[in-house]
Amino acid sequence: MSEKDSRVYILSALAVFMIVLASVMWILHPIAQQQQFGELLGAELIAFAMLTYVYTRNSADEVKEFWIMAGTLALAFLLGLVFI
Amino acid sequence: MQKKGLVAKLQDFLDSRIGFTSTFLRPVPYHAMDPFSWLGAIAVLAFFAQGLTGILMLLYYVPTPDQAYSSTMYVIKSVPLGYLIETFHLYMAYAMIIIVFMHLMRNYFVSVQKKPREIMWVVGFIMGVVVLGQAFTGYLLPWTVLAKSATDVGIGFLGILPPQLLVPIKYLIAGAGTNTAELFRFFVFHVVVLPFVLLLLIVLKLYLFEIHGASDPPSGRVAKEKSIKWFPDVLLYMLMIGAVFVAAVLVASAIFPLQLPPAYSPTAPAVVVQPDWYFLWQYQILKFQVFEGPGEPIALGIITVAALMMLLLPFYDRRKERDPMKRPVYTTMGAIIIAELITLTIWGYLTPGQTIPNTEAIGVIGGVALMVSLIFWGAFKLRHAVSKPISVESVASKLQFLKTPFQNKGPTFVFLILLVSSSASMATVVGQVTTPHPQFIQLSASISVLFASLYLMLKLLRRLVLNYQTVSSK
Repeated sequence: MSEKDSRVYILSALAVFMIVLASVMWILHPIAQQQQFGELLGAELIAFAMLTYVYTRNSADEVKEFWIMAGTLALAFLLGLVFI
Repeated sequence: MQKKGLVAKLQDFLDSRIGFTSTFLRPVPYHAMDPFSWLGAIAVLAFFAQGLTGILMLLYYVPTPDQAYSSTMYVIKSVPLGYLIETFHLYMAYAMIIIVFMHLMRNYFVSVQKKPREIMWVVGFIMGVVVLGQAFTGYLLPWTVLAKSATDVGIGFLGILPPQLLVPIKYLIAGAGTNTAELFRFFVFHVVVLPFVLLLLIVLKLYLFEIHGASDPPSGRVAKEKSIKWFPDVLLYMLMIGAVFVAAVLVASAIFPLQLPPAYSPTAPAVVVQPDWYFLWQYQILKFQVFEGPGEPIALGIITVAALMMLLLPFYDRRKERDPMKRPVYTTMGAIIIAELITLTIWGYLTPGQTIPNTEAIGVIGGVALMVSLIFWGAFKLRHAVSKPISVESVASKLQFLKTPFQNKGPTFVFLILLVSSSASMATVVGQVTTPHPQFIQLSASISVLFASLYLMLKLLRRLVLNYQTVSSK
């Protein structure tokens, strides 16, 4: 997989993830499930920040593993909060 | 020739008519692409987030004493996403205060307030005070017993003003003394007056920013530094840090939802008065034994003078040096301010309603200042030592000055006498100022002795230093 392809792969994965999250948020109850809504919207914003970060790098070499790892852990934490 | 895309065409169309890429959306220097340079922009983002959530809450909130609490509870319990929006509004206000303070201290450390940005500093400082005013007025609106008690104590501090000022200002802020007038005025200040003032100040600051542009890095201008295009690079960068910031506040709002204290009513049981956390540091100072009762105006006076000193910083700090590593005194002072504010806030939270004995107050405040000073003194010494390796000879030559008092026994003896007299007169001044009925003659005599002693001590020190320099140069 070329460098460019790996960035495209991350961007696609994040975009799909955001669409899935938005779909889940759409079906939540706006009074009884506000906490989950807040956590998912937070995850959506984190995913958007990661997407922007990857998109603005000039090459795959510039994408720092630390930030991808930190973002992924934050997303995992938030999804854990929603579903546990 | 490469064909332009739709976005590029649209950008060209707008740019040729508005000229934004050469004015407010012009390229940004590379060194400004770090989150600390964008704290002001994050604060503005917080302001607009507050505006949006505030408007949503306004659809349901009723600013009367009998309905303020119930309408807030209605938003929390019955409005779709109401709980989240209410908590987000509160936490975003907290975040805004923290960001504004970080922005102020970051600018202090890198000295952006120096010529020609003095007015920007003053405008920014006033914006910080308006943000605190926003927080103060918003705190009362849910009409809880805690908020009402703390607000009344806050309004009571106006009592230090002369009657000619007290009456109109108190009327302006709290009305004729009824709960209805007080709540409604706070509501008007919170949703109309202060946001409007803040918006005007934001426009003024952006205008000044437009004139001066981003400041150079504190270590000096970088030759041939590359610029970053505003669109799409800077915009995407701002969206990225903005998204992380909003996500953090949103997640905190979802995980730790707001717990509203009981409603205020004239028959509600008394509570320990405690302001919200951002005013705790001031409240803690007012709880010091020395400032209780008649000493209260002195404490408020000291806080006011400290704020004025910060406001007027660019007008007395005229040195051109901006690098914090080459400004040890100012850098250490800034670190002390941060450490003292954090200490006083935590201490205030842990000791609600308690009077703090003078010895404890001096110990904690002085201890924190001493500790921070020692840490920074050590850090600056270490940095100096790293850049200039230590040798036994260099240390020995630096310690030569210790011989000076022994070589000048007469001036040293006089200096010690003056030191004792200035300490005694200083203690008398403090004692007199903090008594309910100070004796004017004793106070003025002590102040005179204090200043005379200090002046003579300075003269003697100068003589000793000159003497040392003459001896060491031979």
